Parts: sequence; structure tokens; C-alpha cells
Amino acid sequence: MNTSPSAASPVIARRPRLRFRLSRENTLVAVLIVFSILVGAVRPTFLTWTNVSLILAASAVLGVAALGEFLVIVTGAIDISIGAIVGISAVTLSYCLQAGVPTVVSVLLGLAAAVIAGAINGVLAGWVKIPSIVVTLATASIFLWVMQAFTGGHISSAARKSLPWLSERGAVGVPLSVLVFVGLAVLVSFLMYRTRFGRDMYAVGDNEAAARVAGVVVVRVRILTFVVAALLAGVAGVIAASQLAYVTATTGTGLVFLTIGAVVLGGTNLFGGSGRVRGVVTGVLLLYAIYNAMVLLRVAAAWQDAVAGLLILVAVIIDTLGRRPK
Amino acid sequence: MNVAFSKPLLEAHDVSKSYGPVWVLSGVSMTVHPGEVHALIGENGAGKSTLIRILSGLIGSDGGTLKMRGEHVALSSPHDALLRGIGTVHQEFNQCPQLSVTENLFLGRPLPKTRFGLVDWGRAENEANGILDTLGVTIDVRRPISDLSTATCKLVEIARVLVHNSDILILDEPTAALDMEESDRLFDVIDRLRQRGVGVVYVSHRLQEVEQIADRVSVLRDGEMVATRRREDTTIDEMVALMVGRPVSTVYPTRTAPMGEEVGLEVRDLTVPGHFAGVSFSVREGEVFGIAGLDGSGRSGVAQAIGGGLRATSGSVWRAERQVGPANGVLEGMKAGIAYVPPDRQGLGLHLSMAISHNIAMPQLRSLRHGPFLDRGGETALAEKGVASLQIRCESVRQPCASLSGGNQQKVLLAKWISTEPEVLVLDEPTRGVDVGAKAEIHKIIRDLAANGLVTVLASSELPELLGMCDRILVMRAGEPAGIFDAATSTAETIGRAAAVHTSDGGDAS
Repeated sequence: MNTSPSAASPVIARRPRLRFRLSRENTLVAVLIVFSILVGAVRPTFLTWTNVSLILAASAVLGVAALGEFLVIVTGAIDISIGAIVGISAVTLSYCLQAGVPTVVSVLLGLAAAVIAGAINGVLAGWVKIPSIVVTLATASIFLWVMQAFTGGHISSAARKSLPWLSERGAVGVPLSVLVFVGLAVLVSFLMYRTRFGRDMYAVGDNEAAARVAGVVVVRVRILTFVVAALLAGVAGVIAASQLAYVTATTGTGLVFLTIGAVVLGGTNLFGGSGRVRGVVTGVLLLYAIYNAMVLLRVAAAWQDAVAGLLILVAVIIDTLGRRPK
Repeated sequence: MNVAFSKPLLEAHDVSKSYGPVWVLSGVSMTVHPGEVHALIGENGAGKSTLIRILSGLIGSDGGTLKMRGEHVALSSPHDALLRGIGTVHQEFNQCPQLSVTENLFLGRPLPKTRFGLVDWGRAENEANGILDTLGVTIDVRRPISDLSTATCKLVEIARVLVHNSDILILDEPTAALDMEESDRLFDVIDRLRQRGVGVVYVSHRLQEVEQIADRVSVLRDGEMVATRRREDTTIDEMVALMVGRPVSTVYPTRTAPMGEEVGLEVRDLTVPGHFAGVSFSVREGEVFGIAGLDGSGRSGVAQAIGGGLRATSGSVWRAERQVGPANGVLEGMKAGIAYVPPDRQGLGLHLSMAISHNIAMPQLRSLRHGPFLDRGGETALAEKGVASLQIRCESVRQPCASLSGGNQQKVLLAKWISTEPEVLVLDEPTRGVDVGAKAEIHKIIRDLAANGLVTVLASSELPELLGMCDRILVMRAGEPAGIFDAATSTAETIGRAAAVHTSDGGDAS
């Protein structure tokens, strides 16, 4: 770089050159397309609209929860309790419906319960400053068992009966839940790229000390991040309740690994500070496309989770090696 | 010990090291004899730590040779150096605070075993006591390191190195965290080692200590060894002169506008416990006011406290007859029109993986808004204005800061705070680690800002920079003000002396 003070060359090239960057997000989209074509060649059913909408519908719950996890990971923290919060929302919703509470109020109460859980995480991690992995491991267990005690282990199918429209096909031929996922992805994109709160999340994740010196109120950002993440997990819980035959306290527990996996697969730095929403969305779709393909290819169920785990591990290895300074 | 008659233990000959185009060491030679305490002194950035890193095997050199007892050696790692008999005690502590003294002494070394292959703690503790005895130190070796005083920790660290029967002991600023009495205890230990024939390389800023314990003194300046003297042949005055001895270069831009008459900033009796106490000064509009001092003297702390980065417990900050501080947090500082520019680009300064524009706009996101959304056009415009006025060389303001050179990163950091349009600009090491060209540009920027009536406070570890840029200089020493000097009538010697040498009785209460 030229450092002589006299160089009066144009300091900025007016227009940033338009070029295709081989970013993590773009690579992932390419992988998804190539994978789909390959599987489609072997099993033509894979690329039928019925199957594709099945993948989309299945990915709505994970997708919305992963958007929440994404926010937390961008700030350099992690939320292990995201699955339990999905469960809290789903169970609260079902419980209220069963008790005869109107649908809209029940949904709001489910979301409120999720937000309270998120606020507990946020205060402990952001204000008390306990490492988020410890906080959310503990709260995950607490949330789960409180729900279990609350419901007495009963299962409920009330939500599926009251909210069938959420998982049925809407106007464009895909379930409304998919539209909710897409809408929230757009909304989260705006939040991340266009608002001060979004910028503050990246800043805190990239360099907390520098953010503080620049006037960012770090505690507030951290608490709010956990709350918004929990709200998204709550929405995921409502969708899950509408899709599942029965809802129990453990409804969301299997999601934790997949949400973190999808976020990391999507190129979000686990140490915070970087990541794009479209990467997360692609990561979610790729994960479900692979699960779906494995079913079509008759891969034994036991292998499916192992393959997903391997894929995420490979993504992290590529990521870590790529970030290592030369 | 008569140095002339013994064969050198360690000879570094013509050692050079460069980082990119910058030579941090060029053609440096140094010998260490058995039973000799050889002090290595120099200003910050003179190359002391680079030389220490090479001698301790932490980094390789780009040229020159190392000999031990007359034989060529190539050190592949700190462990390799340790096995060959060169032990280094770094300035920062490398200990496991929760483990016991014994456990720490055996770190990286096999513990004695019983017949059954279990650890024989009894024997380990005996050995640990034995090692400490040779240093004349008695500590309960079962206590965790975290229970011990800083000075005792330092002694344990020295003991840990000596376990390997080191012939050469490198001590990097060993007294930095010690008080007078503790330092004396350390000197007793060093004396013992000297009598045992160990060669000690002693790096320090504190010239009185050097005078007290060194047999020879070597002075580094700008990466070159400017002199090696026997202690009895030199004086503190000469050491200071050798350390800072370049003429203040004429490249510093001269004042273009006269200083204003109004007092723009007044600091009264400011105190931050653990950092500094009782600092008072006032700065006129358009004045550049310097803060000098060694690392740990409170130099940087004063700058931070004015901006609100450190919480002052007593004292006050005034602007134009109005009390505005001490600020509680940077936000309050900013509201009072005070901008603090931190020293380190990676640490407190910038978000390196984020775009230039995001960095420059960060302190102002509150006002850069359209309803709930960020005003991205305004943000880009602000950043482009900063980039243009500070001549930051980049392709686009969307480029991440990490892709810029150090000098340009530093200018982004300046742009970030200058564009908040502060009335008081507090700069902490604004040119640390940037090349000469960028340095001159930054100095020009500071000069231009001052010409517009900005109140500027400049904390720096580089005396030539302070003398070249400032009107008056506050010298900090061990957390207390050691005087305010008029830059025009001061020399690097007077400032350096005030910063490094005790004139009164006092203990070194850092």
C-alpha cells in the first residue's frame, strides 16, 4: 500500500467493482444445487414439487429457530436452550388451547413464555456475565423439567386441531409456515443489516472491548439478542405445534444440534462478528435436503444423524483451516 | 568477576530482524560472560524485546549468528533454548495460578514417581524446596500461586527456569510490578546467581536499578546497539543520552496557527485508584498537550480517564468553566465533546473484520438513522468524507479494515473519532506501529486539527514525538505527576530523566 503523503491519487475508486465472490454463502448455494441435481438423477422423485414443498415445510421449524440461534452466535455467544424454548412455546400454546383460551391469545402467551425464557438467559449471560454456554446448558435443563412438571408429562394434540391452517397449503401452494420462515428471514436480514441493533450485534461479536469504547451498551445488546432469539424460537414452537400430532415438553430438544449446525454450515463464525442470513437459510435447506435424500436413498435412520454430524464437522474444519493465518 | 578474562557464555553477532520493510534490529552484537549481569536498556520500540525473543528461541533472526561457549547454535524453540541453558523470565507471568508452587515448578518436567508409577509428592516437594533454597527463598510449596505476592511469583518463575540448570538467565523487566523492598529481594537473588557463575541479561527501564546491579550496560536505539559500557564507566545521564540521543527530527510539522487564549480543558486532581493519582493540568484551545511516562506510569490511564474509559474516583474535568467530568463511560465523555482515541487498533480501537464505513460510523449510529433503520447513505458519506480528508488509501469504504496497512488502519481509527466532531481530542499512542510515512501524515493531521482550535491531549511513549508535536508535556512517573515541562525548552534528556529517575526519596509505588 502506498504510504507517501504526496500521493494524491483518487483515494476511493468511486464504484466498488461488481464481481462474483466465492464466499461461503455462494459456495453453499452451489453445493445445494449440485447435490440436488445428483440426487435427482438417481431418484427423480427428489426434484418433484411435492417433495420440494415437503422439504420446505419440514425446514420451517428448524429455519426459524436457526435464525434465532444465528443472532446469538453473531454476538459471539451461544444458546443451547433454543430447543427447550421451542418446547416452552409449543407446550404453553397447547396447554392454553386445551384450557379453552382463544387461539390468538394462546399463540401470544406461547411467545410471551419464550420471551421470558430468553430474558432469563440474557440477564444471566449479559448482565451477570456467566459464559452463555454454561447459562443456557443449565436453563435448557431447567426449562425442560419445569415444562415436564407443568404438563405432568401429558401430551397434547390441541394445537394441530386449532392451527391447521399454519401447516396447510396457502395461496402459493406452500404451507403458510414456509411463508412465515421466508418472511422472518427477510425481517431478520433487515434487522441485521439495516438497524443499529443489528450493527451493534456484529460489533459486540467482533470485538466487544472496541464496541464498548465506541459507545455501544454491550449489556443491553446481549440481553436483547437473547430475547429476540427466544422470540424466534417461540415462533418455531408455534409452527412445530401446528405440524406435530402431539406436543410434549421435549418437542424441541432434538433441534439444538441442528440449529447450531445449520448456522455454522451457513458460514457464521462461531466466535462471533460475521455471518449472513442467506447463509443460514441455505444451511437449513441443505441439511433438510440431505435428510430427505437419505430417506429416498433408503439410508438407515441410524446413519442419517451421523451423516449430518459429519457434514457439519467438515464445514467447521474447512472454516477453521480457512481462517487460520498463513 | 572480571569480564575480560572469562570466555563468553553467549555471543550474539550481527543479529538482524525485519518485519516487512521495517528493520527492528540491524547488526546487533552482544556478549554475556559467566557471572555477569548485563543490562539491556532502550526506549520503547528500540528492539529490546525483539532481541530477547531471538535469544530465548521464540523467533528466528533474519541474519547473524548465535554462539554458546564458542559453538554455533540455532535455537528452534523456547524449549530448545531452555535445554541448551538459556532460561527466560518474561515480563508477563506464565504460571498456572491455581496450581501449587511445586506443581508450577514441575510444569513441563516429569514429576518424581513412586515404585507404583504414581507421583511421589513428598519427593517433589523436597526438590521444590531445594530449588527455592538455592535462591535463598522460603515459601510454603503447597500453596497455590494465586496466594503469593507478585514478587514471590516472580521468584518462583525464576526458580522454574533455573531448574533446568540454566547458565544464562534472561530477565525482562523483572521489577515492573514490584515495589522497592521486593526489588531488593530480587537483587539479592540475582547476586547469588552471579556468584554461581550464571550470566544474566537484565532488561529494564529503570536506570537506577541498572546502576545498582549491572556489570555492563548495552543500549539499543532504533534497532541498533549504540553502546556497551562497563557500569563504572558510565552514568545515568549518559545512559539517558544514549537511549534518546537522536536529535528531534525536523520532519515534525511546525505550528501554523497561534494557540487560542481560552482554556479549553481543565483537569483538577484526577485520581483513578491503581492507575494514577492527583493529576491536574489545563490545556488551551489549539494547544497540543503531551503526556509522557514509562509503561505503567499512568500515562495511558490519564488519557483514558479524561475520555471516560477509566472511572475516576475523585477530581474533576472542566470545559469552559463548566464541569463535564469525570465521565462515567465513553458515552458521557462523547456527550461532553471529548473523544478518546485508544492506542491499539486490534484491541480497543477497531473492528477489523468489519467495513471501514461501519468502523468510522460506529460512535455515531445513534444519529445516523431514518426511523428504525440505519441511514446507510449518510454512513457511507460520513466514511467517504473521513477517508478523503485523512487520505486513507482504500478501494472502497466497504472494504474490511483488516485489508488495510497498519498506517491506514490507524487513520481509520482517527477518522472514526475526528468525525464525531469533538472539541477535545485525546490521543493515546496515535502512531504506534505505523511506518514513517504514515506517521508523518498523522502528525500533520494532528497539527491541522489543533490549528482549527481543537484541544488536543497526546499521550505517547515516544519522546521525539512529544517534543516535536506538543506545546507542554506532563510527565508521569509511577502513577504520579512528575512535572509539566515546556516542550520548547526541554530536551529528551530532561523528560526522559523525569520519567525514569527518582529525584526524591519515595518508594516506587506502581
